[in-house]
Amino acid sequence: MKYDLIVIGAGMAGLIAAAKAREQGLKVLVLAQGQGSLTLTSGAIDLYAKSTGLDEFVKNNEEHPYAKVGLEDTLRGLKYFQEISAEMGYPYITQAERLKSFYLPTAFGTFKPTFLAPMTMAKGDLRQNGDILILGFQELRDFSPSLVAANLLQIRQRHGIKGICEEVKLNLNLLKKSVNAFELASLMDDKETRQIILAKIKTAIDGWIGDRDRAKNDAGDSKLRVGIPAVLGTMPSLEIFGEFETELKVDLFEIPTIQPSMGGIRLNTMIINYLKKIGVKVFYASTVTGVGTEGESGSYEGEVAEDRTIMGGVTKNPIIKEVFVESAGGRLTSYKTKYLILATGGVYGGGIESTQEGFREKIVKLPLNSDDKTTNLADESCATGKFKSIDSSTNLDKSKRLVFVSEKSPAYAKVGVKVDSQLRPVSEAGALYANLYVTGRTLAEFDPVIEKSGHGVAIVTGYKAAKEVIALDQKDGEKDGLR
Amino acid sequence: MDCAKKGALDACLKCSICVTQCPVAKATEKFPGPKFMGTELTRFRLDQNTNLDQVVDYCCNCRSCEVACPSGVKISYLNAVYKDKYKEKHGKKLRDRLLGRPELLAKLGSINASLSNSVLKLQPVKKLMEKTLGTAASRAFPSYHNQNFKTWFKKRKKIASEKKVVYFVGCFTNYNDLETGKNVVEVLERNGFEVIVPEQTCCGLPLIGNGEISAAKSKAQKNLEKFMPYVKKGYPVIVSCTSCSLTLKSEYHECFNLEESERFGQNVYDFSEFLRDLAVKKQLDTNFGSLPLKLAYHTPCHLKAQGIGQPSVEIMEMIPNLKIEEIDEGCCGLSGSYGFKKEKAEISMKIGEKLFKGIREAKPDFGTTDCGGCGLQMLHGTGISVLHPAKIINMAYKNNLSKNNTV
Repeated sequence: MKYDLIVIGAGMAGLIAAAKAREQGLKVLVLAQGQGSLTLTSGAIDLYAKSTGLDEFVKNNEEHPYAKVGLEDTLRGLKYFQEISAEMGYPYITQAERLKSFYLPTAFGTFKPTFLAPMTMAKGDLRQNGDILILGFQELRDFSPSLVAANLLQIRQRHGIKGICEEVKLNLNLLKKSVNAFELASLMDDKETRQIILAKIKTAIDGWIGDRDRAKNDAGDSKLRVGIPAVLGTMPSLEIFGEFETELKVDLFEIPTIQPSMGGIRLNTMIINYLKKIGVKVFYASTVTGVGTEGESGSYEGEVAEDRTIMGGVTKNPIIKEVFVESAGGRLTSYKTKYLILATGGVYGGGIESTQEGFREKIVKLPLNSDDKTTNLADESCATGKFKSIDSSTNLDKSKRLVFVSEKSPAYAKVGVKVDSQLRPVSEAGALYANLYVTGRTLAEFDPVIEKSGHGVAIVTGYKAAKEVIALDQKDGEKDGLR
Repeated sequence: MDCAKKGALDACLKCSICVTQCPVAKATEKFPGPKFMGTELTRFRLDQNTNLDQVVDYCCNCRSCEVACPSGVKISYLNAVYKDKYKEKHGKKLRDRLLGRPELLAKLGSINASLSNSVLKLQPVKKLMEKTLGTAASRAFPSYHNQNFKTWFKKRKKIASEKKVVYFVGCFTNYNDLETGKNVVEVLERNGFEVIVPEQTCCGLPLIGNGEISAAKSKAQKNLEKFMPYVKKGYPVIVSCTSCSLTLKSEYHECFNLEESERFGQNVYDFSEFLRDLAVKKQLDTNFGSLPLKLAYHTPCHLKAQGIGQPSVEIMEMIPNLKIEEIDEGCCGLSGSYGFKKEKAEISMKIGEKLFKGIREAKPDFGTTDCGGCGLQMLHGTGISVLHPAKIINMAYKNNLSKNNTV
């Protein structure tokens, strides 16, 4: 079967690219080994740790994917994601102020800056004044409300934010005495079961409120904010969240848990369902092992274009015509395509392989920025174990805070494929293929861990690559006299 | 490093994605999920046969976990091995021994097919079987025919050709769905192939699913023995049931690692996959007549696991006026013998709930799917008849009155 666009990889970058291209009428297929790692994330979309400084950051880091894509398309890409979420009934929102982050709590009681939060988590911003109550459940593993509350309180006090932060742990009397977030969320999917749980939560909260002297929040009222581990159902929907907020009469916010993380699971389901809705097929268990190109020692049968001058004056670059999937039994299944987007992830996702001899990109065998052997990938100053002490100027007792992990990116974190401003992989001579684009973690020159830019880069580069494919398709269509 | 190679146990990063895809874990609290039962407990079981828990029997071996696994770990097979070890230690149920041997059941059932069919429909009989054997009284058993596919095939006139294929029929087609076998043969012959049906036995998957791996291995060895001479002559092996084809392609080599199983697997084709390959080479007869029907298509789990896309949909989409709506709602819930067991029957129907709803809402003329088991389940859950793609394709051929014009 022939497609207009094949996307390799079902992670955030691949799925967004597929959606955008499909909306323009292209016939799109996604091929993947397994599910994307977006399933494992908190569900919140990180843009950049200090997002208000994004303009400056982009200006000073021209090799960074945000710079390649450009600030305008970066913001458009994020908006695009937001529109999908709204259409699917699981809206993600930003702060009102341009580029301002949310500071959302984690299951440790630390905080994570993030840019787009699902409605179910958005009300958890730590910088807001007002009382917070953290709910926990006896049966739920790996979530300690007392840990969360204690740490959140400490952070808020250090920054002069008003309001108490306490916890309540309740016994749900479930049949199973020990469940993970997915199991509890699955129970919540059942209306009858969750009514019982909701009633118990209401009792617990009402009991806690009692006659406490309550602090006022930013809005000037004493409405309570209640943090609950992210177990309000497995589906990307606000139904359960809305039910709980209405009944409990509080501002509710979910706190992401360790895997299985409902935030990530819902995020994946939401985008996959969107793709189903608009007619994009996603084939899993379909590991792409190679591509077939035109213009390489006559090994390909089919049309041969005479003039391969495509864009930007780059001539004679080969075109990828098909991809090969290693199917069960070992035979290759071939899919033909006009355009190809690589969204196979980094070392974790499988797009970049880490071997004794170095890093490599397995499918197209693209050059990486680590191929230059003079790069010292083992930069000692980044090794963990080096401590950095910070003077604390708060009312805490001159205690020095030790930073366990370096704030500087190790060189190996930035290994990836170098691209031009159209996200096409390049060498000195220019774009290597006329119709191939690279997105997401496979790209060079960014570190999602230190920068806190994982989903952000994935979304905007996926969006941008799709835009480039659409533009190329228009040009090709004009050439063929179809438009 | 080898231990992190795709498929290896150590490639498991405990990410839990498999757990979120397991249809059984979603339908019942009894089953803790593939990560725990498969990779986690295997690490304990490597040295000793400890931590053997009967709850592993709830794994239906649909392989949804494997399809979703980003690291390519063969989680479902780990559970199958576990079932085997458990049964070795704690004994095998008679029911499971029987359900693992569809050929034996069929031979018993076919002695007097109409009698068997009538008796097996009687509620008191089914209730008694539930009490004694443990099969579900709520399920209809597939019917037997007096003449099975192989006897039909032996009796009919041979159509010879230079181009030959060998057909691995599969137990369900052979004993319960003769119609599909006939259509497969006719479609292949229309495309100029001589169909050979070698001596063969059950692919062995029901034995794997019921915890009898060495018995399954023996079946595999026998099939290899019978089929390899043809494979060596270059004849492709055509299979019309996606569970059989997955087993022949994958399990024989990756799990049993039998001699010649790798070469064998490389020469096994799902029926529609084979037709699609012909189409790519422009050797497929595409003179389909109009077939103005609406079909609801379900992708079998074992087809998803093969990583060959949806070849039957691609072929059926060539048929004029045929409307195909894919109902993408995961596992149908039957999983071969799984749904026929009394303690699993309710779970089986719960798993398929969304699929049944989707099919009903699509208001199709027929359901269609590449797996006989899925077909049974779809019928049971919706009351709507199910046709194999081979039947659809043959119907379209027959609707076109012009003869073999290969495009």
